[in-house]
Amino acid sequence: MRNTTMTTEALLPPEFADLEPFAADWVLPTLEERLQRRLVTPMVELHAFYDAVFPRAEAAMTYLDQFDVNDVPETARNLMVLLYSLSVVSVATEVFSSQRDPNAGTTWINEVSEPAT
Amino acid sequence: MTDASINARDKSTPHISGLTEAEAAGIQIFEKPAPGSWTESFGLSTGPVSFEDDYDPEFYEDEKQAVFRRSWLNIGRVEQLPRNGTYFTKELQFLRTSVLVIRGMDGEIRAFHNVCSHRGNRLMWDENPSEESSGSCRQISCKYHGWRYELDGEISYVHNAPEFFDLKAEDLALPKIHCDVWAGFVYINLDKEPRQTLREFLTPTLEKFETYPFEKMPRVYHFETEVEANWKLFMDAFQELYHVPYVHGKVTNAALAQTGVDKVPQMIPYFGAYGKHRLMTTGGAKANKGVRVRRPIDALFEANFIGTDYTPDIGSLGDGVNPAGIENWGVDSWQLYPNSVIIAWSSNYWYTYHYWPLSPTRHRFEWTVGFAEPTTIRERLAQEHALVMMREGILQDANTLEATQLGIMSEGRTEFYLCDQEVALRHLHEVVKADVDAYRAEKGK
Ligand code: FES
Ligand SMILES: [Fe+2]
Repeated sequence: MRNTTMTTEALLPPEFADLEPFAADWVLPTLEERLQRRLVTPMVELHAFYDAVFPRAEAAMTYLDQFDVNDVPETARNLMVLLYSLSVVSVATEVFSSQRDPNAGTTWINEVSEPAT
Repeated sequence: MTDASINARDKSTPHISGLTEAEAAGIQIFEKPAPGSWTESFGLSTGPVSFEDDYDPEFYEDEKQAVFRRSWLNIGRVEQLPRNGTYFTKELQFLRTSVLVIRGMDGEIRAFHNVCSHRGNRLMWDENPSEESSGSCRQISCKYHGWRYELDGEISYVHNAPEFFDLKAEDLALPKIHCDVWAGFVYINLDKEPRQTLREFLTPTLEKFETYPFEKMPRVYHFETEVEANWKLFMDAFQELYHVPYVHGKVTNAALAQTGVDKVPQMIPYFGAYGKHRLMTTGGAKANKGVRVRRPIDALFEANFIGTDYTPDIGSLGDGVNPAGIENWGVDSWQLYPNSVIIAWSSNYWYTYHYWPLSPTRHRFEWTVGFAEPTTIRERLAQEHALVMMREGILQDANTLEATQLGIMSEGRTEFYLCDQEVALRHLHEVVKADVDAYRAEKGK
């Protein structure tokens, strides 16, 4: 799952360097992409993500408090999107113990559009 | 109502009346209207129902004519037409109709059949003629031989016109479709002459709801899917809460650990019939504490499947919400005839659902959510988390439908039993059947 291209530039603010290993996979622009990522990520990796990001979430939100919601610098925006992914991942780790609702069959609801974030 | 005697029931006796001990521990019961039930107050029978209207191909054909070609249909919102010259198309393949909705240079919104007067080519489309498109234009031009129309549908150009015989401008305008706007929703009516104006159709109570400030909640998310079930079956899934403790057990139920009770029946405090439409009003986030749950992630983001904990200040909600004046108002769910739903939540966001038939046993489902602009990143995160959880809930609603469709179609039985909490869906099927019966009588069927 890891992105094979090596990037020297960090996606996240330096204060959250510990979460950097998750950024390449989970800083994804749309909800649909984050949901699709959950579907293809093994549960063990979803748990690893949740266990790493959840304890840091309050600190991340406090860090983000300093920015205007309409003017968020890129690394901070990436951190915010990583928290969106935490919400998506929590459905697997907290609710269903599965990448998707085990009773869902093949049902899926496609996100067709969302506001520019 | 919580008859204790039934708790001491013999194990061999089926438990089909009264509440179990667990149910009685958590339920909140509301007063019913004068005849003693919502169902009777709607003027409906309390007997078993048939769901033949959800698979019979003949019924489906007549329903298209009787319901969809005669009712006002909600096909979009004014925000899709932000400037003069902007347009969108709506594909109603089940009616073999493509609707072109366009805002003219005079600012008027008009609807036309999306078909060229020359040889019938579909006019506005992008890569695929059967897919919906949107954009902006100064004129409507045909891709086939280049005929052009003004935005009010009048013909403006015919290529190599002298080769034609007796062309008259008045014959060549695009065929109009009746179109009107209410509360920012664009409606069409495919009847030659609509039997009612849109506002007559909506009734005075709904007309008032026009004052609801949709425009203050402009952050719109849109979802779509196709479901292997008749369109009415998905409407049914959202017009009762009887299913909630079972279908949504994992997402919405009170966790045993937190509240000590599980599978608490959800009760709707108010149902009303307004013309062919229905309203359900509930407490939403302010409902029965016994059916609320808070997982760690919900506490973190201050939101859950029912919305954000915070309520954005958007000023007045107009004079149309909570027409029944229930205490602790949380949600109005308007089930608009025939196939759309508007839900206004007290934490100031809105939903719409639309259900477009594709066949007797399949439909396209559309879900739209509108939030207020967040003023902080925490508000933005709360919206995102609410959206994620809502989507899981809706997915669960969609899941059961295929199984219901299969069960009904098997004709293994033809009578089904609805409770008073299911009055709204009984009403929908009855109104549809009444419209189909009237149509059949007219046609001498
Ligand atoms: S069909 Fe449209 S110009 Fe010929
Ligand atoms: Fe549901």
